Amino acid sequence: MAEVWITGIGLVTALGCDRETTWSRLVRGESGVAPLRLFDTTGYRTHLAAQVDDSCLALPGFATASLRHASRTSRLGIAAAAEALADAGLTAEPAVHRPWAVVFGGGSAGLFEAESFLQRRLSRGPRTRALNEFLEVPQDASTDRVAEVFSLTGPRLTVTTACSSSTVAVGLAAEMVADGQVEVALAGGADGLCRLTFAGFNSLRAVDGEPAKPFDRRRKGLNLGEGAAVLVLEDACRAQARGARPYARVLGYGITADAFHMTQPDPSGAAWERTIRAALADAAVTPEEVDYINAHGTATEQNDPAEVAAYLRVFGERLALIPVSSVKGALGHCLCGAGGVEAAITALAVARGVVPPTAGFAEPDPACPVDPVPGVGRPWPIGVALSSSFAFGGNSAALVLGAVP
Amino acid sequence: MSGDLLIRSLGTVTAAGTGVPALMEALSQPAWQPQLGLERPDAPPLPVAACLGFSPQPYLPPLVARRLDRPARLLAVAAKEALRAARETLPWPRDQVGVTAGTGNAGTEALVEVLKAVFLASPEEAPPMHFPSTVANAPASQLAILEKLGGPNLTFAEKQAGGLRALVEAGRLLTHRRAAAVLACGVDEAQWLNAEAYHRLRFTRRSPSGRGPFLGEGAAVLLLAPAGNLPALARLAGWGAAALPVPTHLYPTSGEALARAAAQALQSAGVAAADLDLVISVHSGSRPLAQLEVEALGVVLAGHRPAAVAVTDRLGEGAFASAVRALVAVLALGGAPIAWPAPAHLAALGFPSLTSRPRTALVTAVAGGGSAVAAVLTAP
Repeated sequence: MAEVWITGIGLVTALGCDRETTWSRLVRGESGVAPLRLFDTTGYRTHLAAQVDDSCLALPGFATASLRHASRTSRLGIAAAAEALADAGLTAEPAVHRPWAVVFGGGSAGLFEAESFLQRRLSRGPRTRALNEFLEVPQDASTDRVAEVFSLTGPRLTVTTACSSSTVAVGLAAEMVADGQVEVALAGGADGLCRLTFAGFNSLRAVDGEPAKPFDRRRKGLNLGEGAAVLVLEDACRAQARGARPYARVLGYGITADAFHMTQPDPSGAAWERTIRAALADAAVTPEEVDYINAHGTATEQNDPAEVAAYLRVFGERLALIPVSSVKGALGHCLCGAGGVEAAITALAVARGVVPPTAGFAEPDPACPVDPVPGVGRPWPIGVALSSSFAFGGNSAALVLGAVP
Repeated sequence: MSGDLLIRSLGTVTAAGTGVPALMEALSQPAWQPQLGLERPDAPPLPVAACLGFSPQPYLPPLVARRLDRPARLLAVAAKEALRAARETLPWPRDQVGVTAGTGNAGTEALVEVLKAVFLASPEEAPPMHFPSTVANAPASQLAILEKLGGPNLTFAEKQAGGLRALVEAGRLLTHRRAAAVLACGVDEAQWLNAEAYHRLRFTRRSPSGRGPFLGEGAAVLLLAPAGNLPALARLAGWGAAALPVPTHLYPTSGEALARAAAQALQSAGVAAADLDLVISVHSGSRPLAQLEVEALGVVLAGHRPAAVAVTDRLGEGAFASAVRALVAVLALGGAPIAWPAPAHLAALGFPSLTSRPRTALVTAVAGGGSAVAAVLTAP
């Protein structure tokens, strides 16, 4: 089994159009949550979301033809992939086919655009004209679009396990590289805001009308977000040979099903304990070696205590010594893109020895006895980090990243 | 590649009926064709091979069935059949039994219901009971909840290749010992908006009696487990995947990716092209798809002409269809009589229809957007 390095990172979030802007604002404790501008929010419980600025979607340098009918989500993915490849020092010229894999978490894809068609179709009937608006409805459309734009001809996987999608994608992609199936894989995901998710979480009363407050006793729910993260995963020998600079190693991952409820977590934490233990076992590290946890941390009433219960089952009293932060207070919940964004943030934390803060946290909750890194980022040496994602349907996943010696 | 990825049992719901016996009965009749038709609002029906008359009873208790949407019911019933064949008491701990699923449109009907409320009433009217079913992983997740399966639960979106992707990813999970057994599944529902989108893209035939592909509905489940005392039906011997960069709604313009995927599958299975006994064709009635299959098989098989069978042109296209093709390959390897002939584009090149029990089979899938997946199944 080959060692797998993360040699490039691209990030597009509500905090910035690129990795460094996102990271620097994140560690300063800033939040990208603001009034949503993408569509009219009249009638919803919340008007807030972590929306990416439209300027991030312009994609200068790409041929107009290659972006024809590209959805908002695909544009997010292309922007992140371009940054990741450049960061890794890998050129991907359109004329040259590369046998690299693309493994993304897929969710809303082109749904935002298709919603406009559906709205007209429902009110005007079958003569409603449209074609371009639903080309990218399939959940693998953004994966296809990224592969097309960068001429990638390796295996293409789109994982759709709701909020754990792109965490699983990073794990699977790392496995493909470790197995020698491909030398390079682009892994992560993109997810854009749309009315379906806004209305859906609104109907479940899972949203907070104010900025979300993960692990805080005042928390009332999540803020939705959008964004994309792409990690270049590479065979370490190949990366070393070309002098690439790694951010971190992918040590392993774990995936399990809670088999409990479609939307509610097992409050005992037992189901998620299995996920975390599976990831640690796959990575061949012990709980004592984990220095940082990038939490799922949605800020819903049910998620946070169940998540902390799982950590307590695995880490015991030592949990008090491990920083546990959620970036969803700053970046919103990017749903199928969230795990990729959080894997990217975790890799940056490992590489830079800084743990990001939990934006929105101020008042501790006895049900969530963790150190959520309030305020601003904290210098903290990290040898091993865990990034967790828990999803609708009980599809749970955790990644273990390690520092490169 | 591990040599003991054994397929232990099967379950299915298709336009041919509920259960493997119903499908086998259809496969044994050369002239079998589905009844096509799917109602949609304010417009004529569309040619879709739906599972007409499908009912979750007696397979699921009414109170359980009520909380599942149609794709979850289709999958649950197909999985019940596979699990029943694997006996009531599973020989593996349930938290070591995983699910991989490929779907092209699970969640669409729930999505329409939520958005209909938002657009025609108000956001406050969005039905919370439908929202969890809008995620494509809902059928696989509901199956895990229903059967208390705590192993890895993964859903893949790869359009027409989704079902076969689920099978090979089940193989990956087992190879890496992430599960003791995996239910590899494909599932799609007959849903008017989805069918209308394909209709508008001119992907599907214009009328039930016309020519060209039509969408299907159904679920297929293959239970894989390396160990256990259940008899093996077939072995997942190898697989491969590749892609060509094309727009997401178009098939690739050449068979190059399919040829690479098939060659990888044969190589990883340790099966020489000349030893291949059966090709389960991707043929759906799409002329571009037939052309690229001819090109790919020409590269991979050179002059060898194994038997060929097409089923997607009768049961309908979709992510579930590629899982059904794998299931039919398993049936053929087990000696089930298959009277459906080789598709015309392969017959014209000398590929015969299936007349004897094969020992090796190639199953392939090509997705809009350019992805190709291939698997080699062998007799156990």
